[in-house]
Amino acid sequence: MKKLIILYLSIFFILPALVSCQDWFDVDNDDGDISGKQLLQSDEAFYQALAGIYTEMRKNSIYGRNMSIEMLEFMGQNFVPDNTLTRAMASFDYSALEKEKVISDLWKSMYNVISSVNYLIEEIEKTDVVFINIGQKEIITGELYGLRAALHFDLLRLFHPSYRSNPNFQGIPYMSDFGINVGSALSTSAVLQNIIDDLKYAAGQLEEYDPIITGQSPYTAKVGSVDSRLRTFQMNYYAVRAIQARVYLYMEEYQMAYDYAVEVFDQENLSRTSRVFYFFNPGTFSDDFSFSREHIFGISSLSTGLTTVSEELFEQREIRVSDKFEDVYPYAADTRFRTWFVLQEDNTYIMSRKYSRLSMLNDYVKTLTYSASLPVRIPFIKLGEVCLIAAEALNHLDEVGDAAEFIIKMQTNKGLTVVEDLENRGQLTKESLAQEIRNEYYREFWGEGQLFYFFKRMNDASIVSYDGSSIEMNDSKYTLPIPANGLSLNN
Amino acid sequence: MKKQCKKNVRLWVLVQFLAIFHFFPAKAQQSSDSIPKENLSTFKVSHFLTRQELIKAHPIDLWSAIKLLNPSVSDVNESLYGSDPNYISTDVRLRQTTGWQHNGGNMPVIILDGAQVSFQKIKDLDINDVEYVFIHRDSYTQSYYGIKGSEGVIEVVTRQLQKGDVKISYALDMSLESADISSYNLMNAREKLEYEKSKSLYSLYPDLLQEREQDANKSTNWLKVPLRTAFVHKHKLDVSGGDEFVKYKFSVRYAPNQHGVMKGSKKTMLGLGSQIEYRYKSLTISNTLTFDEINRRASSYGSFDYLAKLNPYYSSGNPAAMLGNESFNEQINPEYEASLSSFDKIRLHQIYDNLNISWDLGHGFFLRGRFAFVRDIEQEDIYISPLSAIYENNTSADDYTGKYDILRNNRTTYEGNISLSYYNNTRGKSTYGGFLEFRPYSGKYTYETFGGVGIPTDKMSFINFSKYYTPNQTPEASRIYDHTFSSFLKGYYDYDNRYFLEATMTVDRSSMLAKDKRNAVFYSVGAKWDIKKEKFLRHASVVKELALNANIGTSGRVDFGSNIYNVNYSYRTDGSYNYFINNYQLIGATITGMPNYRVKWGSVESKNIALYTNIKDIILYLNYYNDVTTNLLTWEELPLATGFDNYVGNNGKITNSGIEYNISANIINRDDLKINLFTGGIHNKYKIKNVGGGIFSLNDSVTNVLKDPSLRGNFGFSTNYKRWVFSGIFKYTINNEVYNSTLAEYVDNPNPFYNVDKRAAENQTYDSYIQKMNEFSLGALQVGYRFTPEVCRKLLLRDFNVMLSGNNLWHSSSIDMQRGIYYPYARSFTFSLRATF
Repeated sequence: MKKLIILYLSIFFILPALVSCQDWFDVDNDDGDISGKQLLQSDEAFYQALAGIYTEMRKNSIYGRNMSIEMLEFMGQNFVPDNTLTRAMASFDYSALEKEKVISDLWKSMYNVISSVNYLIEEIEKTDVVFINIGQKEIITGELYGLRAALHFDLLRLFHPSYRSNPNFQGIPYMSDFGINVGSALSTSAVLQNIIDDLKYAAGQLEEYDPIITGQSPYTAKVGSVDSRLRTFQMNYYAVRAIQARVYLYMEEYQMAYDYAVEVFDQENLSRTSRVFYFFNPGTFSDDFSFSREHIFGISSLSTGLTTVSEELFEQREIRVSDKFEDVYPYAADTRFRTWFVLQEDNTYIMSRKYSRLSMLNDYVKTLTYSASLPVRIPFIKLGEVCLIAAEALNHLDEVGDAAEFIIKMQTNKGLTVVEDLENRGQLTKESLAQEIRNEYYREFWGEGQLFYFFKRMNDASIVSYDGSSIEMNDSKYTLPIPANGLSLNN
Repeated sequence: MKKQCKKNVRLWVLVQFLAIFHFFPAKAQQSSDSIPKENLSTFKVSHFLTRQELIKAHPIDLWSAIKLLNPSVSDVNESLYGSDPNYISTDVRLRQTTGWQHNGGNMPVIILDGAQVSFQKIKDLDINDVEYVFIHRDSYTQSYYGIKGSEGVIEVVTRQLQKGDVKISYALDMSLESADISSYNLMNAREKLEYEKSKSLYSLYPDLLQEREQDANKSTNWLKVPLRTAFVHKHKLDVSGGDEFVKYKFSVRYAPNQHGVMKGSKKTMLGLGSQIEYRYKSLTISNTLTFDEINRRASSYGSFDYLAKLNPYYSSGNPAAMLGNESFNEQINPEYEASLSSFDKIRLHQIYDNLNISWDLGHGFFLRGRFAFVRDIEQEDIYISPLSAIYENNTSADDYTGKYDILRNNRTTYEGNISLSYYNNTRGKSTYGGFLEFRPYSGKYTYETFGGVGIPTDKMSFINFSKYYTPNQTPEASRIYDHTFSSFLKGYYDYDNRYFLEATMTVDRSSMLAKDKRNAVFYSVGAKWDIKKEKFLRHASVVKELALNANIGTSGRVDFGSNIYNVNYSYRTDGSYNYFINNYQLIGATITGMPNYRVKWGSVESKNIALYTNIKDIILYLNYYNDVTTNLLTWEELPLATGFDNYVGNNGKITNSGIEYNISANIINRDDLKINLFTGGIHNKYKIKNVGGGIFSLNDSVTNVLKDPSLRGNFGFSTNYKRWVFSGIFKYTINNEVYNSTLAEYVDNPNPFYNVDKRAAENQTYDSYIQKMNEFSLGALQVGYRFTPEVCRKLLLRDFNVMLSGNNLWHSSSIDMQRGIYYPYARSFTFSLRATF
């Protein structure tokens, strides 16, 4: 009797201990926000989280403004500053910029995007969600790795001195985990190694499934299939290859840079209707004034985004182009000169057309019955840059003739014959080609934030200021200071 | 018979060990019907109030009675809501909060016969059903309730079933209430016009001034317009009885149309209850089931503060929608609004079931189980008539006039416990025992709201008649869960009734805690030395009791939801991103903040030392306490390379320390005349020690908190003369820091378009609206008479009592500040009758 009671009692007491299963405690409140765990329960949710990352990239503190059309452009001396802040940008007065939190906002926003990327990588690598489209999981993973590398590369180009000047400088950490722990500051070489690893992994994930490789007719996208048409709005396979070329060129590994650059032109082998990026011939771009079809990857913007910033800068504030403008575009036939700039009554030029409200992206959103134009997007990497990378790499490898072909290809599409003429005149040398490559850098990237990076990569000892004077450059001008609290709370 | 008695005592002792604190007096249990002489019958840490005391403080309202009798209980927003019969406290402090004061919404755990219930359940509980109310602010109880315990516990124990023949009891309460607006000091018409002239409001409108000056002799006191003398009556009928096997009680209470002092405000209550207890040998099973339906309606005049702002030169009785129509300061006419069909009403259904099983296993072992189910279903309907003056200036189409909103609040809890206790007093002077309990708790709290607009006519007060969803107002909803499993272990040792030692441990595992910090452990240790039982005092007749007690323990508080420790996404509805599969664009989801996977509950360490003496019938209880709260939520900075500025950390620290006392003296204690005087008070000091990078949930770190009063206390008397009982209770606070909202809104350069305080004419400016206030009030005055058995017999009654009570009769304050902002305070007079057949 007594034993029986003890038996029953012990069952009674042990039972609740067994019942206390884990799931019972794993309930989340529903009030406003959705937890990551709750959200990422379907493939659709991963697209939403990925779209959120691209959405964050178009913030004004980074690619939406400062790293495309404003700060980096003033640093590249393309425009004449009109107020204290832009003057600080043009004169590399970083302490003045930091008073307005420009640099710490940029730093924080870049790492904010990286943290979202890291979280999504963690989740997609352990998720058991079934992705309906074959390869979709690999594509998203590849994009995330590609983005992480590309974002870190831009941070490296801003916060480290030129690789030519000091490859051992220790600056930024390579953030590859979501959380509150910040990795240690790495040398330029170490950061680049991480970037190369991530890009390699990204390319590996994308090369099998990215529909941009095979191409599909814009009219035959099958319901439920991965659509190739809008791939240039995302970090696609060719964008990863182009960025690999960009990174290797930065590291002065010219053969590697050329090898990756040349892969990008594989798209040319596809039929014209299946190609998603290509050079516009003069007269074929319609009202796509920013030549968006040349973007290998561009960040979609809203009509209240890049266009509005452009209107503010060039139409309201009437920010003029620099004094070197006429030297940059000596040829009136240059479609970039003709399309992007508008001559004002006082005989000065403003870049009001390139990103204006009239500049459209056509035929991206199109079916047999429906077509809509999108507002301009923020270029991230372009076909033109890949041509320049390939040419510069070959030129360094002393294959001047082949190098010239890339510039000719590019210039032909812009209505220019400069290199062709050099070649015909027998004046094509390594030096003259290098000069023409430099000239193309001046012409190609207005409003895209790339020219400053070029000066820095070249480690130019002096550059021409917006007013025509010469600015002595050094590491401290080329290198943005890492903001206080950027790495730890102690400094 | 004697054996039975002993068993009952032992059963009671065990019951006490299970749920209630151990120092609870066995003495007070002897007879619950006789009025105890004083409320400090033995040494204890938890303050408890008996039904008899509570009824002396308020014959109807349990919550008012608790606040009057225990000075450490305060309701932060009370002075805003005055005597609103429909007001439900959302921020109650026992002594003071152990968290940030700015958070608001700090509530103690509310326990009804062992089950956690909502505050509403206690607010609407019938005071006649109450046996005791405990105000627990001791480390033992707080530790027992673990992660929920740090704000203290209000525990209500209802009357035990009594055996006997069928007994029918009837209780009637009838009250008259009238509003007390003496704290208002507003201008009359002439003064207001002078004030407006001094502000040059009429420089452009000389005609309007002339017109208003002509009528200035007819000044309207708008405060009086919505007020009335309210009559309230409540009825309660109990049928009870039973034998040694089965006991039962069935009750019905009904309180129709309990009007408040503001016109239109009322509350109707219907309550049904049944209580059954069955005993078979050593097994006892009891079940309590109650169902309540409560209908509340807010005043059709809206909030009282609007009436305070109405200009006195507007006359009442005007049927127009706007007062001062088309002048520079036209105001919506509340009388017009009250004449419409608009309403704001709440319907609440409460179901409460509490099942208890206890089994005496013999040999000192005792097994007990409990299951409780509590469900509150509340719906609020707010209807604004299409004729309302708020649509007066509506230029858009008539389509959107009229509005109907529905808000639903549901609360469902299941809880159970199973416990085994052991008790041994067979080893000479030593008594020891142990106790093990498991306690699962599942709570779900939901909220949802939606609304419609476009009601065709005034009388169509039903949401079905609305034409559209309210523009720019999305339906809102939330679901909050609380799944907690608590384990509790206790051991105690008592030597010769002189030395008592006890230790407990609570382990809570809860869904409310962060995944990486999901188990919370709490402890308490207590020691008591009964000095009176020592040889040197055992025979001292002057000292009747003398004891010392010290406790230390921990408890917790969870000030966060799962959004703090989870990565959260929100949809970027401000802009889509192009792309993706079939749809050409997609709304992105982005991470809202850096979570803290390891965020901890706030932890409170409470220490106290208490003295209890009874010398010549003067009883003194003195308690010094010191509570240290650590791990309160704060903002903590992050290196920007994490992608975020800050996240929520646990660096907040505050302390509360102070003294509580109770003194009670029976100055005359004869058979025909008993006079008892009592007083109690509390002095608390709240100190912020660390705010980390800022107080969480506030944008800027406000570290200036209002100081607690130097002393908050009460005093009173209770006199029994033959069959008469007289009692009175007063309440006071000294040096209480308050934010004087009257200065801010009505005195210091107020908006001259609205009515203002008389002092505004002095044009004085104030550096700070924070002032020190002394308050003194007469909370309750009561006279009662118990009829002689002869009279009762003639009336065929077993017992017959009548009482007359006055509550909130008088109030005085050292500063001029309006009280009863949204609803005025009311003085009440209640006649109560208790008859048992």
